[in-house]
Amino acid sequence: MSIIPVESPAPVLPRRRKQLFATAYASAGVVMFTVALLGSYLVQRAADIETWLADNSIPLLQPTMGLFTLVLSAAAMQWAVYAISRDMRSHALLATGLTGLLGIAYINSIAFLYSQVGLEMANHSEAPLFYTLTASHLVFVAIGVLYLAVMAFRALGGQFSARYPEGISAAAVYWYVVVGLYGVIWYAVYVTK
Amino acid sequence: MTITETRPESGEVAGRTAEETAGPSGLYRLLGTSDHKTLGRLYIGFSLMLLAGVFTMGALLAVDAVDVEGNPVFGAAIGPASSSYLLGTVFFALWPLLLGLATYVVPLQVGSSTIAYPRAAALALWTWVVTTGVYIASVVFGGAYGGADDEAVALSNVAFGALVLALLLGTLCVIVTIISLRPRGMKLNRVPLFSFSFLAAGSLAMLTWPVVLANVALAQVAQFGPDVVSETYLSGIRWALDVPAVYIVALPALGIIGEVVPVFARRRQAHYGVMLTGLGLFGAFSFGAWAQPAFNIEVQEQLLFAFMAFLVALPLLLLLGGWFGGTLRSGELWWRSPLLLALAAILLLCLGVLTGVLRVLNPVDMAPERAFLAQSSFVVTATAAAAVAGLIYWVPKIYGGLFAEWPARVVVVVFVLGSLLYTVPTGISALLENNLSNPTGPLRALDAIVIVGGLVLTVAVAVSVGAVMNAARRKDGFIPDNLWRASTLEWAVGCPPPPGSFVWDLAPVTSEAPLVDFYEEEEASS
Repeated sequence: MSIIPVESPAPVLPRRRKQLFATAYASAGVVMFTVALLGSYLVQRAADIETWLADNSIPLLQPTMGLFTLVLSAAAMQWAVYAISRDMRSHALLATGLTGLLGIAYINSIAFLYSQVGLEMANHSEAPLFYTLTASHLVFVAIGVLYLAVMAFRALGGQFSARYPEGISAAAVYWYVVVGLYGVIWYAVYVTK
Repeated sequence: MTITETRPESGEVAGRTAEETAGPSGLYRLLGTSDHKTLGRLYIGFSLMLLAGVFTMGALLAVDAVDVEGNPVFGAAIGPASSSYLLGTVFFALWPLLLGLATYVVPLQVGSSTIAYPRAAALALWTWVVTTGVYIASVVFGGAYGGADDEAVALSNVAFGALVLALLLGTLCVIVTIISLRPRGMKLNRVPLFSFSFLAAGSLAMLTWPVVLANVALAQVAQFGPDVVSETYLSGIRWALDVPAVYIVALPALGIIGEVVPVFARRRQAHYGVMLTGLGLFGAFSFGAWAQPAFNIEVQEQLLFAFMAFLVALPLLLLLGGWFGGTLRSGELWWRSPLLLALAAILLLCLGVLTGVLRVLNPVDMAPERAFLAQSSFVVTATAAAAVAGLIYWVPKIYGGLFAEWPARVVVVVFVLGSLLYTVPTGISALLENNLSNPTGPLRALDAIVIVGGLVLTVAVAVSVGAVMNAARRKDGFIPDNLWRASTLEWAVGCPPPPGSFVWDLAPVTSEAPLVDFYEEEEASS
């Protein structure tokens, strides 16, 4: 039985998807940042095509595992959005946690990759571009994991529901953007080398 | 628990003294506040000081160009000085000044009692203040782009990156306010011109300046690499100060002009939709992240670049048509200082866009570096003039006092004089340098005029600061809420607005001029 009288006014909801718009703008900034670095990388690679990564071979296994991990995490993220919009809070929390865990797994795989590539900053002219591009994406994933954690705690506190799923939806927008960007980096940097 | 009695405004509350319930005060209150009005005032105060510094620096750089008796001001430090000047105009002074006006005015214009994410807005302000201080300190120790000390240069780079990030955060708060906190009925096509222009400019900044940040990050990492990168620091950023990206800062200036013109023409803005379209197109054509030499070294010599520089003139013509052909022509002109400065800003911006067109078409073989400086100066002074016009216009709302008309007219005269002396000789020198057999003498004379212009502009900004401080200190007794009989919602609240600003429910907005609607309804009913 509810103790709230039926004639009580509905609680005031936050206005017009404030967090969603803020996240969308921030995500657009992240896209532009990454695209700018990728553009510089491709231009430099085209100019030095003879010597680019000539001394070493970046293995494709870890980057591809990273891609699969992130694609799985995007599916888990969509599960969280689906669950919160149907008031299945335990599912939403589980899915958000899984997404974050897969994000950490991706960070781990790329950190391991760095120990395998053998690109030394002091000796390889391509190293600064390679590390700036891939590590900045790593930072964006770490920010995404942090964002998910905060939204999960807020969901745990009952701030999000089917009526107001915005926090989870906004985190999902950012996550999809980060996953999409990795798809582009995977092809442009690791596959085509 | 239900409160059935009005809370006493002062005195003891639940056994606590007035001092205990008064909340923080002094410096603690200043540093801890997230009130958009206080944040806006702080932005305006700091950025005006930096604007005066930037104009002084411009004058000193011209002293080095004149090279009187081989006794330069900067000497070997001319590289870092000129790079700091270029960055300072946009990122240290002008955008923060516009952001300060927007932080204060935009929430009021869209009928909101607060800015979106007020604590993030406060974080942005103080990060900007601290990083500006760190950048200046790094310059003192031999930093800034082109500086002699590698570690100090790296520190400048980090400070500049953090500064851009802070400005983006502050901008994000304002644009989310415009999108999400509008009252009922205020559709995007009814948003006031200043708010709309800031929405467009802020959106562009969110798409353009992350590219600057990418170049900053790359330069920072590249210092550990095998190549010498000190020369590449500035080349990765300079495009953001060149056409078309530099027009981003001019866009809110156009919005301020759009606020001032109808008020002092005492009529509604004609063809409001066309004006919004003009602002939107001006913004769209100002997107310049693609035009950077890092991607394409010859980009400025290509047809697309020339076409875009020409294209940006078209929405400006549209806006001019709306102001001169519509509002000003049929209005009852009230020749107050904001209108005079707004007209001066229009003139300077038109000269800037014209210089941009001449620069890319280059029918008279303009000297590239001087042409760049001329265009940059026109855009900078136009934006500064419009920002000061906005400041005079909104001073009663921001500081609760009046910007007295005679010092305001002094500001107008000095500002216009300084702007013309600062910009026009640079433009003429760009035309002469490659077209005279011996240009040294005339160029020195023109650079000497630029020195005077820079100093006069410094005086103009200093007089503006003095007049603003006087307005804030004097508090001219009762000032009507809508002093200018303006049409936008910020003029529906007190001067300055009370805490919480809109302490009543706003009626649904039905047009772009809600207060004019209200007055017309009142007059019709009486």
